[in-house]
Amino acid sequence: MAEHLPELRSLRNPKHPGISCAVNEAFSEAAEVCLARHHRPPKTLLTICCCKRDVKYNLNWKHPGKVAQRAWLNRDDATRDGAYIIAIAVVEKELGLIALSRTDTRTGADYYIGQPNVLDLEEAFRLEVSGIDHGSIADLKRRLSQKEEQAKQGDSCLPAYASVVGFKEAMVFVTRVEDT
Amino acid sequence: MILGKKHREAEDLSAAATSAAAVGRYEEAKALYAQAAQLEEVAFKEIPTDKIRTRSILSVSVASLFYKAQLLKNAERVIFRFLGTERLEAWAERQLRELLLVVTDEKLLAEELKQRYSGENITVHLRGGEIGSGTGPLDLILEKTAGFRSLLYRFAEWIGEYPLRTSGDPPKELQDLIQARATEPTHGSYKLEILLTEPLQRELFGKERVRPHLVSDVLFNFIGQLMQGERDKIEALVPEPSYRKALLELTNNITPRGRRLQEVGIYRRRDDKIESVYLTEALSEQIKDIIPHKPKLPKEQEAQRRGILRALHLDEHWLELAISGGIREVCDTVPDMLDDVVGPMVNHEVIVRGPARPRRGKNKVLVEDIELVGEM
Repeated sequence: MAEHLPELRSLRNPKHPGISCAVNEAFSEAAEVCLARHHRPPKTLLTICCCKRDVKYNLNWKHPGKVAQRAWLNRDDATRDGAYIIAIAVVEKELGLIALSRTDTRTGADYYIGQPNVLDLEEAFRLEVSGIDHGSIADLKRRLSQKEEQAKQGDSCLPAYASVVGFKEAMVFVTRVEDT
Repeated sequence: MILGKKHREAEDLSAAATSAAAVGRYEEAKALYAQAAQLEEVAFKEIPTDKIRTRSILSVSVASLFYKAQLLKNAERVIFRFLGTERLEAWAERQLRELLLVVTDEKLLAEELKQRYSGENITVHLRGGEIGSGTGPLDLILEKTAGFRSLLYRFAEWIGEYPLRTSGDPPKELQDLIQARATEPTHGSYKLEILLTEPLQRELFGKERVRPHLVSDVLFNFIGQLMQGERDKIEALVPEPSYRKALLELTNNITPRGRRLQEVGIYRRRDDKIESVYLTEALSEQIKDIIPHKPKLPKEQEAQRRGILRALHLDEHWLELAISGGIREVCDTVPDMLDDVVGPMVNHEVIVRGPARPRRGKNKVLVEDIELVGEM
């Protein structure tokens, strides 16, 4: 029987200092709205490919209420934010890393992950996340290589992880982007 | 804790600002970003100077937050300070320099637009990559200018409820609608001014079909929704799939994707405020997801070719690709392929997709989709 990923609503401050309660609630709701499009609660078996290791985990979730579904009518926002929290759940389970900080960039925000109990971002990794609502495994892999390329080109020398979450396929890819 | 309370408060305020902006509460968002920026600046000062990476990450955050709050002078002040006096990692210096270009550009533009501009003018700034101060590779500038004009004509035709044009020039009465002019250089960008004028001799055409301000409104609305990833709103704005596809493909043609150009900033003055929308590399993926596609073919029927587009004759429904190894392949094209979308792709690398059909003992591809690889 497959193990479970951490509960989505547990992925927040103080365990994950970079995710406030409000952001966690919003992201968890978004993930549930996306999951509800293709799967049924109370759990979904996710196929994870994290740094070339394949594993399956159950993710517990509850059906989003009508209010949450209305609030996340924007499919693309929901997919992006829902993907973030699921990627962070995988990163915690598989790599033992936590969300340390959210910092702004001109066109959005970056999340930094790292070892628990560190006090700064000196050893942190940038996390590049992308969500795909409905797409084949090939689509997920293509998006992953785009994300890797983006993380490599964009803002290195910061080490980074790239992750792609496919809601329909119930798959999550996480890969370490090689430093350039 | 080095990343202390101030940074956490800044994170929360910034997240709240993002949520406010997402539902159109822009003034509230700006105020929240401003508070976040001030706290992040304090947080930055609290970090020991030997924590270079942490300070690098926060320096970009401080400057970005001031920029998002539209406090351009503050953004400029902190960027100069960070670049002038702080030890930062190279990537952060690069990001701060890029941000400085945008801030300087937008500050000057705000002053100019207040003083000089009237009527329906759209200002287009090409930034980054091979673009310098008022200079840039001629081919790139010509392509982007032509691409922008094509997009505006399509918006005008759609607003005027003209049938979708697959080839040839825009309707005669619209041809004077759009005038593009290069203007004086600004720091780090190449600037074009697009004048939207009333159609000539419009009284000859009875009821006025296209008002310039509507073209500008729809352009800003369309790209704004695209930036937000608002697929549903894009579909509601342009319900007809063929027009929506044309507008998305033309937008994709002028969207940067590579090292030659990093950003196209589009500005106008509306109600004494400067409105802006941006085309960046990230938008290209969004567009690909939203573009209406023909139903997917079974795998065994679908064919794909990659090569340089060397020739095309859309009236005769064919195009020719130069595939690696000196091989040339002629493919058929569907009748609704648009020449202003495909035309600019000539001599660039593309991927074409569609069903493979047996023709004279060979499989010939009927191109339904064509996608540019890399940049124009």
